[in-house]
Amino acid sequence: MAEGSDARAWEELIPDALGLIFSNLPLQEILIVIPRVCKSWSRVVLGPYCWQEIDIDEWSQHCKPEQLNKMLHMFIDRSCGSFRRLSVSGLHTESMFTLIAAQLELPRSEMNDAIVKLVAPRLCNLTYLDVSYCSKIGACAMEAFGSLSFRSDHYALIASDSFVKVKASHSRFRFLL
Amino acid sequence: MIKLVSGDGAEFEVEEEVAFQSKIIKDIVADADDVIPLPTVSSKVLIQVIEYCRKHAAVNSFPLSPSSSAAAAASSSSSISYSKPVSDPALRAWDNEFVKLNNSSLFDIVIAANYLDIEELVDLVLETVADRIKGKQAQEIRRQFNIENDFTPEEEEALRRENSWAFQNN
Repeated sequence: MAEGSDARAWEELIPDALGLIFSNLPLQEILIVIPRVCKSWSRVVLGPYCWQEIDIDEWSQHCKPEQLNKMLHMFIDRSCGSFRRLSVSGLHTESMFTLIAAQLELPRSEMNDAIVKLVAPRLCNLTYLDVSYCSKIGACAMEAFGSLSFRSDHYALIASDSFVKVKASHSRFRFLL
Repeated sequence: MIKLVSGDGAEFEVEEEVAFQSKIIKDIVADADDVIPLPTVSSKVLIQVIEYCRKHAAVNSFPLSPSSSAAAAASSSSSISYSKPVSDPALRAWDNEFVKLNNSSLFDIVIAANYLDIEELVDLVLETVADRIKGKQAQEIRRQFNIENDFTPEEEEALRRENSWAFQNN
């Protein structure tokens, strides 16, 4: 090891560590700048290591539906389904909602009761749920979420006041109105 | 006391609570003796890692400085978290000073911290490296971290275009 000289192999740092570094960067830099630095960094961005926690809330408020759809597909492919947290605004279609199944932060989204009832039973890994301002879902969807057997008790349900009546029957939910 | 031996043979005696900032050392000590050879860690790096562990061990056992403890005691329903040292602004400031090192030193520290399983130190260094990458162009990043450009100009241009769809709005 040549101590003191400035020649460490940053391109060969373990992919998990590189992924953690990149996940601290703004989305645009992860997708546009980092892949062009060198082939090994490019590979890390293609793989699951920097897509464990995905926060595109800000980006998703300004993108078009087709961009959001493409982006979600890209994340889910790259994370190999291993992401633990996703924060996104304004999902437009049912298919987008069905893509996601771990930690849900979906304020201002458009899925309805029927699709929630269909998908909720598959969300067995769900540990956190935010469906505030999702105007198309009601008590029926909340019942579906409520019947899930959560793995841990570290979750919150952030909902609008239309769900108050479900509160009584599901004391496991923490409502933040 | 626990004796740590660096790859270049230097010996360092440290208190248990300092050494146990490393989960690996904690595990080793549980079923072995108190002299721990760390062949892949140089003495220069080990000195820096011990400095970090010493500071964090001290703050973990005395979570807040006397003045802020008094302030915490004064507010009866205090919500100050004693178990999260990084939320202590004084420690945060100390950490920020600690990482004012060149990229090579940070690289060596993160390799050692990863090997020794000192999670907070790994996170600290990786966040610092991210801050040094943030806002820079690919060429600048390569220069700063001594990374060779192994793309042809055509490949680089193709990569530039590949994800640009995501940021072309309206």
